[in-house]
Amino acid sequence: MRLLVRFLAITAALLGIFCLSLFLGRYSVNFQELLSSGLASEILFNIRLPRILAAALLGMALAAAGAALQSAFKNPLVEPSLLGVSQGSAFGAALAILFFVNSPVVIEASSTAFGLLALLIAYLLSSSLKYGGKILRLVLAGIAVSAIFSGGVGIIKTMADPLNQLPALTFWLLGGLSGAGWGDLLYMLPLALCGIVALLLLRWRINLLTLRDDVTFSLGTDPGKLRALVVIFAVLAVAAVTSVAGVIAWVGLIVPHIARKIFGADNSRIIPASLILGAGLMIAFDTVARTLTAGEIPLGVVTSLCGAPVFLLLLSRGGES
Amino acid sequence: MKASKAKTAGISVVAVALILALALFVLFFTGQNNPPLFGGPVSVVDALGRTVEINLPVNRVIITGKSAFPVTSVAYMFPEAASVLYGLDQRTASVPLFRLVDPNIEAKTVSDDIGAGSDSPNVEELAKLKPDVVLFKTSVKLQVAESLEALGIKAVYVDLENLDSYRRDVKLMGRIFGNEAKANSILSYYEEKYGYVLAKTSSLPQSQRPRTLLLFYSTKGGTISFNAPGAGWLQTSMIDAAGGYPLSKELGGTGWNTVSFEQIAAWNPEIIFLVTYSQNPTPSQVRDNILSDPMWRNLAAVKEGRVYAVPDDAHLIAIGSWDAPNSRWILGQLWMAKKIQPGLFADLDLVKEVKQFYMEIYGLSAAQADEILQQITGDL
Repeated sequence: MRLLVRFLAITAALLGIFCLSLFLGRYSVNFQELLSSGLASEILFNIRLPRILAAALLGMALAAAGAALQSAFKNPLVEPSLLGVSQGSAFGAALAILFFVNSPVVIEASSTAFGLLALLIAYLLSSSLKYGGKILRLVLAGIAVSAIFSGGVGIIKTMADPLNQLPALTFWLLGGLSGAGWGDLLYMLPLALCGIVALLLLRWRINLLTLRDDVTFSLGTDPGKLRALVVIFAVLAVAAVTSVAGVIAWVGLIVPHIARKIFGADNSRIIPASLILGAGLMIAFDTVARTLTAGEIPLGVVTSLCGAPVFLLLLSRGGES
Repeated sequence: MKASKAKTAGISVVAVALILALALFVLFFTGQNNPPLFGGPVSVVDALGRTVEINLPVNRVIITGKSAFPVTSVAYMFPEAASVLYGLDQRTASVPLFRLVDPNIEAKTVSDDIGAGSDSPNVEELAKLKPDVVLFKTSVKLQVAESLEALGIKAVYVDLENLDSYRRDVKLMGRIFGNEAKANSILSYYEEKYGYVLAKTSSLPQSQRPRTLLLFYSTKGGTISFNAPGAGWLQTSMIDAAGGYPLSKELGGTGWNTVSFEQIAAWNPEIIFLVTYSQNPTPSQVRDNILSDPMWRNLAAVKEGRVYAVPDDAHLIAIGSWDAPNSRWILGQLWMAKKIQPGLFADLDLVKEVKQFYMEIYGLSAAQADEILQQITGDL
């Protein structure tokens, strides 16, 4: 019963943030204006609404993937970028910006493909490492793959045309939803939704991964296969949203921690709670990014600025609940 | 008799004093400041305040590194540049204006390995080309110049970001090319045209200055973005001088700031200037899209049809747009003035001015100037 109340509370908070965000912006819109001015309704429905929905989807994908990966790797510090996925996606997008200018579809496809490729390399690499347990090996391989791809991004940055390509690249690497419209939302929806729904369906079984592997096995589940499945769906969701929004850090890390504070350690509750909290938090961050100053602040900058202190706060109060 | 003797003596004293003063005057103004007639060392102070000793005449000058283009565009105003400039990159060599000024430009291009466009050009590649002097924009790192000097190659920095730095840097380049008379005539042209615009606009009150926004439209990075220049950028001060109110001056600092459509709508500009620095899409294509887009039609500038593509005379390869700090910003200044304050500048014949600029400043023939005029894109 108390859990239901808490779920209702965070859902109400999400709806509140959604409505507030819809009426916040550089161009002030009120109800009378909405009825009388074509521009006001254009801005509300074709600029703000798709962008808020995109932010919600971005937050959901990152938070759900973060929660699932943290359980799958029994490590509270895991987030999508740890397995090289974010840097791989960034490399893919940078490559496309450099060679296939003006084609959003190519940029987003290349980003998704390289995100998955990074994970594949990390996975294959981990099996040949001779150090630590399975999980540590995968994390180590992920760090190495991340470093290689971020080196690649560095090379592309030096090759980019400083007047034309570099600003676009830099803004993309800092992450953001400026200019995200209905088209971008529709583009990332299928893959992201596929990943999110799969994680939601797997939420009961993800709990098994937090047990020792031999215990999981004795309960009739192959932990290796289950872990692989969870990781693939998490990456799918992250790669899809990263291809549009760029590299957004911290949200995938802190939201599951907040969810655990409110709902305890059970993944069957943490995954849905992370979806709601992730959506709300990302809408709030993006609203700050687009309203605070006349020029857009990159969303990745806002999430890092706000995310890191929140993370420290969560850790410093770790023992209480 | 005595009186007339005294008078003669007085006259001769005055005459001697005059001659002495004249001699001192000539000595003062032609002394060590001027390059020696038959070559020799001359010391110049560059845009970073460094004193550099240069042996005249210079035989081989390279202009490269990040933002080299404005420097090249000023260098080619000097007739000497065509014979001493070397090591240009492919993109610079493709600019129609330069190809007319320097017909051999193709033979002087080198690969981009020397670091065209980089803030730290490759010192060894540069040394291989054996230049006497390398000219850098201030955006190139100082370490590069120091390494070059260690190899006996002189490096000189110029800035050229506004009229003040033009005054200093054009003179500096005049001394390096050994043609200070040309430097003075270039500067007096810029002063005259800028002064002509300012004289008409500087006293305009805020209420008579149309709200003007220059937008850099970019489709790079997968999404469309609009970027506006910050308060410290040339484009902002050009709009101000042209008699407009530069809306994006509330954005701090220099450089491009990404702005949302919402912000543009909140500003509701009366005039929009468009640049893309790209052939795909061109500023003219973006102007057409904006004028026919239902979302934009509510803006004052679109309602009144005052959306203009900024002219460009170098095939839109990001280095010939008239809003950027290359030599043609002065043409951009005249063009903006005419678009923002058509009433005040009704007598300004832009085509005539533009032609005169290419002929007087770059020494083109009337036919050559017409050739460039034909190639200009945008809403001249």
